[in-house]
Amino acid sequence: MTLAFTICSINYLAQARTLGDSLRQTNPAYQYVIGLVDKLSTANLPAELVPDYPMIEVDQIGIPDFAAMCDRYDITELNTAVKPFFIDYFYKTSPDATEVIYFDPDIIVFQPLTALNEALTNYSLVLTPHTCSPTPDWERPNEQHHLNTGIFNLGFIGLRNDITARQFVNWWKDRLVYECRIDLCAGLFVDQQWVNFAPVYHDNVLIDHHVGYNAAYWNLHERYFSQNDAGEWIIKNQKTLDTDSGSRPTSTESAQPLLFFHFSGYNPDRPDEISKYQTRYGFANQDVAKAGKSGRYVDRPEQQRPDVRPLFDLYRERLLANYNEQYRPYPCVYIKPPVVRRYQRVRKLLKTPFNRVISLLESR
Amino acid sequence: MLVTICTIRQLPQALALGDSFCQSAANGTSASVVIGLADDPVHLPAGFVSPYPLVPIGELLSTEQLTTLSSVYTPTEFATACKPLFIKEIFRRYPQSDRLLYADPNIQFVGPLTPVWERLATANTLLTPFITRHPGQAGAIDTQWPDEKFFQNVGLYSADFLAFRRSAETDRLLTWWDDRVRERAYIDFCAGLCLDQLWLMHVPVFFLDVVVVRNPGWHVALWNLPERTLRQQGTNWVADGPAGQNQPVPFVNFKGLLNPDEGFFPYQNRVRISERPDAATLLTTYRQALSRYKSLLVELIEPAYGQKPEPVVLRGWRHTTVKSLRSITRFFDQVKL
Repeated sequence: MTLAFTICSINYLAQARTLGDSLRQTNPAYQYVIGLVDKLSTANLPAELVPDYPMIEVDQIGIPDFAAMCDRYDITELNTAVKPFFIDYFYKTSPDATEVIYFDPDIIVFQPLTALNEALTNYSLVLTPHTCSPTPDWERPNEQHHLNTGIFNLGFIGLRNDITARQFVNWWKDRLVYECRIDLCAGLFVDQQWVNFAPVYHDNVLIDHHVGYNAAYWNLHERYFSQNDAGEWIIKNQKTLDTDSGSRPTSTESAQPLLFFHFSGYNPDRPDEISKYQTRYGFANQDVAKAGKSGRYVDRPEQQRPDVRPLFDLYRERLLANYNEQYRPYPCVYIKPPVVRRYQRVRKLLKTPFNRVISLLESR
Repeated sequence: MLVTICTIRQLPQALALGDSFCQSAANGTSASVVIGLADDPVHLPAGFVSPYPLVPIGELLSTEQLTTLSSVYTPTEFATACKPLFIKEIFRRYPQSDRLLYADPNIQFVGPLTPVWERLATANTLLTPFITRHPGQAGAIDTQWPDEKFFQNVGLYSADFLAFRRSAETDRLLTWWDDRVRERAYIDFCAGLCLDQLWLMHVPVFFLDVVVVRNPGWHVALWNLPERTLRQQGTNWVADGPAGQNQPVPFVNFKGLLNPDEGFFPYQNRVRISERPDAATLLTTYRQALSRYKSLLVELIEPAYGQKPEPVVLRGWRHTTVKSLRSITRFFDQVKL
């Protein structure tokens, strides 16, 4: 049996349900579970907001000294730090789960993941890179950002339940107890940067280059989208004239089916923005520009991606149908007020004599 | 063929590397060695005749380009900023060579290169990781240095040894790498930069037929001694490590072993060379190989390019004091007021 799971707080349950619905439709043999970084007893959800999927609360999976972990981490760090602990929990409590697949909640799966299931019979881990090819410019995100934050996107990982994968998960857990922070200067970016080690420490890791996996704002430059006659989404690595003009592509050369799309950083309240984390592309096309409408890059055709707009509109529709508006206001019980470092000038003043001695000692 | 890149000061090591390559490559293959000189040949010792062809960087870059790059980089950064360009150009100048190894001048070939050529028969590019398993004890807090976070800063694959097979894919790789590295070879961890090396993290993903060689015999060095043991078998060395046992050792990197101030790990505290007779024996042999070129007297020749000062390596009380002072300033940064 393959166990697919996601991790989120109550305010993201619309996303988790949308993912679950897509898996139910495309991969009905998967057992789908929501790992909840929140407490249902506190939220007391009305019946229509209780998802039709099993939920496991994070304080129930036996994370050692979980309270201290909550203390150390902010909500992003905590949500990512618990990932390998959930995987380990499934290994231990669902021995019939021969494969475990993690998806970020903001993903839609579009096709049966036959090749992935096949890969997991041969490999211990399956990872997807942010981008399979060089980025075309220095807009955000580019190759240099990935060097700091991780080559692979950890919105997805497929694991077999074998010795290698368990070794990897145990090592990953150990790292994330204290070092699931964002501190780029110290080589840390939550759970993700650590996974760079996976193919270095283990032989049996597949880096899957299929462009249908984990399509997202970080790889739009190598993936252009269109729908075939059957309404299935397909990806080409070149922008072609026929897709540009809006008609269906005539050639299927290098076309691949879209397997899952990751709507990272998309906000349904801002339907004109691809993601809050990127600066490379906007949706607008020339028609919009001519009509004098606003939007990112209306004046720059090469940075407009009208081809992905229908995917995002579809996602927005599904989120709204899954009660996104109702879920949003629920505050996560683990959220803490952000740490504000006040008195910056006093701190600087206090440091000055020490910094002077340091530079004296470091001079030749 | 073998390519290395050095400054004039590093010539003895580059020449000893070339000698060791000629001995190890043997097997009837013509062993050609080319030295890329990231320095100004005007400063070469009078009457010096190199046993191996020298390609000075001045042949590849205009004076204007040299001045610009020199003004923004340290000598170390400058040499690595030119590495892909050197490799690309030397590969072009020697069309009869289909396989090219790049090795840092600190490397010595100590055994037959057959395993390297065999791997290159099917792979386009070979990379060697710094470490191949977690350096501490599982489940325990590891207080030694370098830790895994630091490897994330510098990159997980060493840029001191690279192997390429001539192909369109290799050309594509070298062109991309040159484009990225020329102007982004700074050491700036916060910005995701570390010489030519951190960029290699993309290579197994962006390019076809890249093989990461985890074999414990390959690229034995200061940073991986804790996970490997070496022993002599006849005239050759074999190694045991996390990814294999009894593997022949084709080459060893003496960076940080010969000169503890050189390389990424001047403050490493995982290995004491006095406790590693295997490494000590190899180091003694290496010193002998270098002594052949002692008479060149180049140690004091400052590199011509790279005007920014190299970071200072502190030892003894200075190092301890700076470490304590930094923990105080960190406290001031983080304390809740």
